[in-house]
Amino acid sequence: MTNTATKLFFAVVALQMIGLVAFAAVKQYAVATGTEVILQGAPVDPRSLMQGDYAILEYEIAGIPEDVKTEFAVGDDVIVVLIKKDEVWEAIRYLDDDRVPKANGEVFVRGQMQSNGRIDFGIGTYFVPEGTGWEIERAQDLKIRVSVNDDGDATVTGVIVDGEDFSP
Amino acid sequence: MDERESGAPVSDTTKFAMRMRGEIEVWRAEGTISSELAVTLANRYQTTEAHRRAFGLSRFSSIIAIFGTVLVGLGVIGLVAVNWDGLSGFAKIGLLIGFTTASYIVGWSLAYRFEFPRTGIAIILLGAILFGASIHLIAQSFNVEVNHPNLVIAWFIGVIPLAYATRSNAVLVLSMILLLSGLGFRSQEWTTTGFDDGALWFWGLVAYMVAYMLVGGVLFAIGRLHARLTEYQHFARVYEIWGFVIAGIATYILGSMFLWSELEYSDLPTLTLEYWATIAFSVAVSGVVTYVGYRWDATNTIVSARWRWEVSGVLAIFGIALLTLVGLFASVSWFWLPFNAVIIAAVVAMVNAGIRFNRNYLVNIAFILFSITVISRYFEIGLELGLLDQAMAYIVAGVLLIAMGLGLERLRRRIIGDIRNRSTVS
Repeated sequence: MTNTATKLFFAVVALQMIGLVAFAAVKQYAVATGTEVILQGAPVDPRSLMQGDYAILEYEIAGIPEDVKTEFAVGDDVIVVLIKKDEVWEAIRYLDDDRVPKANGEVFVRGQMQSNGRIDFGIGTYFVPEGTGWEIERAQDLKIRVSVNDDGDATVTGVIVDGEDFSP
Repeated sequence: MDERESGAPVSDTTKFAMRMRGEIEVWRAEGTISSELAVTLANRYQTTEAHRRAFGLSRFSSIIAIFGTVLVGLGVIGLVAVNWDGLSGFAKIGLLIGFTTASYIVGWSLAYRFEFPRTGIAIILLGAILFGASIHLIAQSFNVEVNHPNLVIAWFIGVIPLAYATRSNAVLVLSMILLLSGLGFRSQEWTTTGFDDGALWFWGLVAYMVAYMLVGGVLFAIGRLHARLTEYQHFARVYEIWGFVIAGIATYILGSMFLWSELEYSDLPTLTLEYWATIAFSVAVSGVVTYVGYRWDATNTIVSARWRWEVSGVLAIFGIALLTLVGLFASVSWFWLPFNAVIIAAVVAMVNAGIRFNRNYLVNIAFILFSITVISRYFEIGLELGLLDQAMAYIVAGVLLIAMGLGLERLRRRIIGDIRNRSTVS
């Protein structure tokens, strides 16, 4: 192996490792600095060959009201403004990208309009240890802990199954 | 990569001699040369039993080590999938990143310090697989959307430079697999409407095939450029095979009578900017890379037969893609016919190019493509058109090919006759 090839090899390895650490760090930073909200949900329980068992999470706030739906085309960004009511955060307004809310006590989460008329927030997956997904699937009441950062990007941090934090 | 194994060097000369002896045997069997001449030539390219054994063991050890790597890699991916909760997410990520780094270091040391290049490269390949497992583990730990379109693309971007650093075909093949899988995941973003509506499915499939065909063209063009690089010449075949296979699969799918007959019942999905950007990028890269190849040849005053065949390959792929786009927007149910004609033409062209340029893999791909097409279309046409039309279509196509074969054989006889006449005169 030539000197150049050796340098290239170790540079690529170093960049790979930096990339992996950065990926984890960015996600962890978003979780650590975001606002935690609890959303009402409903699960399904399939399996990924690369990442194992997971629950597909559906959100009540993803169902956009009919009168507002016409304002958004498929693929448009949708800003959903949330406010805490009792334990769960609920949607109070659906806005386009330019009118970011500033009111106290409000949090907004960003999603994209789908062809099925629902909003995709990129938080539709919750990975679980092998064989434990049924506990979520059979839940009577499912709530999802979500960390939302200042840009409205969300990360699922946990689920609450029938009032208890999910811990298989 | 040095083709050496500890204590048993296998030189390029030995490989060449072994290949020549194989060629000589083929010439003798064809009657191109006499048995006496074959013996004389074979003696000239003599290799020792020890050399042959070393060469065989070298390849064998490489294949075995790569099999082992794939098994370990799949095992680790399986461990990630288990999502064992006995360790925290960060501990698992730390462990896997540690194993990935260790694999690279051990593989590099074995390959380049202790002269076990085959096993060393296999372990570097393992590192590349573990890198992908790490990406998916982090995504799992933070509940990133399953099948996120960027995960495999990130894996590909991390691995492809390693192929060039190590000059390893195995790492390049992994990169090709990742590129195509990554494109598959990215293609979720190529329509705004998605495929939830079944009516959109067939239109989307046709549109996607255009993009895949052009990506096949890019790989073929990049492969041809590699054929001019001394250090990376061996990558040319990997790129070309993948290019041909992708374009071939796309053409095969587009030759489906069922697909085109369903189009009239469906609507065109909204194709996103990313889809059109992929098309434009593929066309631009193929064009630029092919032009660079042309300039290269011109600078080095190389005979341009190679250039003509490369341009023909790229243009053929562009042509098929264009034909597909026309079919997509014209929506005619008989459009499956030109694609099957293209497949037959491609099979003939590949066999011709394979024999002319001494590329056996082209002939093999052509045989596989021909067999799959003929057998599957036999059933499809029978179901769609009825058995009589099916029988007539096959008889007509068969007679055309036999006639073509006869014409080619006559041409061959004439060429050989000319050669003999020239030899006699001189």
